[in-house]
Amino acid sequence: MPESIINEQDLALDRHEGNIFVITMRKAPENRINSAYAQKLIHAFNTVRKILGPDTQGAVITKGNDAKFWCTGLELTESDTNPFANSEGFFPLLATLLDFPYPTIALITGHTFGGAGPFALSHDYRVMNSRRGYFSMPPINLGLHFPGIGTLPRLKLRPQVARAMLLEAKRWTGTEALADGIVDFVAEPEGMLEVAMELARQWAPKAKMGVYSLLRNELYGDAGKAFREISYVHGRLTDLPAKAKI
Amino acid sequence: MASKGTSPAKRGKVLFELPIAATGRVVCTSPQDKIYVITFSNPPDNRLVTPFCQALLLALDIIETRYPPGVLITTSGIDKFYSNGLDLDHASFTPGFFPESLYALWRRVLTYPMPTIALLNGHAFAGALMLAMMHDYRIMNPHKGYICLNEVELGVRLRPPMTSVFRQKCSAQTYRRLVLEATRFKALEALKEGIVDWLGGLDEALTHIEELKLVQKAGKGMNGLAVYGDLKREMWRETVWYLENFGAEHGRDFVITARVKRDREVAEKNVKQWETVKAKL
Repeated sequence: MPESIINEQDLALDRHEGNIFVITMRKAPENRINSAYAQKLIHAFNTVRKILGPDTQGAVITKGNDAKFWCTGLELTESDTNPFANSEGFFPLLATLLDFPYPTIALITGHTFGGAGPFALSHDYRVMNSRRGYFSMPPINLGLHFPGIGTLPRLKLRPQVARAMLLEAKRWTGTEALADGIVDFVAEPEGMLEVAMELARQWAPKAKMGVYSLLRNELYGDAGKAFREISYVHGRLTDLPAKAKI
Repeated sequence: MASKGTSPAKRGKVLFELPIAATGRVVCTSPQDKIYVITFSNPPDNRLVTPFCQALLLALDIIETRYPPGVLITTSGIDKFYSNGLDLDHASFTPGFFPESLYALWRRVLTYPMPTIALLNGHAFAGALMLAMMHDYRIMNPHKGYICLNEVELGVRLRPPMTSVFRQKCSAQTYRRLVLEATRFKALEALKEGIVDWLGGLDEALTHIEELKLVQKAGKGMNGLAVYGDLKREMWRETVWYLENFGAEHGRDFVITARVKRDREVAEKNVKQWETVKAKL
């Protein structure tokens, strides 16, 4: 039986056997991220890190709460009242993921849209719902930008796929995302948690020698740096807010 | 007729022909109104390679979109074989082969909006028998050829839709004989097991089509809808799903491999423990 560590209305953190932690996003209706929610997610990751300490095996799975949505991106209207919203939440969240000392798995339970694209890519592995849900990043259609938005697509995907993601706002189904290497596995809704758990079990031991974060940064360090650079910055505007809000 | 196969004249007027790469061809003929015979020949033995599958898919599309609905019969122009199944190297090393060619062809046949009959003029092994099974009916040459699934002897696993179609269309006992015993069925025994529906050649097939009024089954029902394909899609939905979701096999295989490995480690540990205790006594 998993042990409940955090049990809030919009977020849960459960601990499973073998130091496998599962974060469930359940912020109705579509798991949109604002700066407060991003901080909650950061707190969940920090909680895991503090519970486990260094040099031990462990892994974190980030999932949605149903087979319809994973996360549909940022609450774009927040920038209207707080121009630093992303610098206070979303960017630090991605920086946290990229620095995290344990393997992370995004269990993409459904629709993944906008800012959720980099959020998913900042995890080490991705498992996606084969039956339902689209993956797409629309900044090109919305007139949106922040410095570093292309780092994860560029570093983790083939150039043609990264181009389609960032410059064409292409939309992928689970099966298409698997073929293009955006996700590592697809599975039916009933079986997808099992695939993510199995992945977690397989790679959790790799954290034991305490160099997981270091070696991840050898691969994707540019992305981590880019997000840290624009985190908690109030002296200047770090991002171009969307011209079209959806 | 039975020993030499159906002569081209009997197969009727040629409607169209398609090449299979540089070496083979698909010929579509019509021996009777609204009955379409597809004869494929890709020497030496009609392996289910990409150009073969793509040519058949195109033929099925042409018949469905350009001709009135009726009955589809598929057979081989190579006397000895309906088909000898997959080319394993080709299947393993051609990217996209399974979802785009093999599964696409099987899915198309399985849900085709007309009654389909596989006229087994000769041998049908493994992948070829699976293709035959995707049809609604099978008629087999009583004097030539046998059918079997020999994966257990080859040491090859059956992928989900390869085995599910037999599970859905055969009895449990027949399924076991096919998969776990690799039984080689000649025509009469295949008939007794229900793997094939009739014995004979094209003439016999035409007779059965007439008796069962199969041509009419493809048309619109009294409500104005033609539902034959939809009915099949729902009848065989598990197999249809496997054929539509090749990508999901990867994740499932991964989980199963991990579980089997874990179980084996536990078993090894338990047996070692038992051996240690035994040695001490």
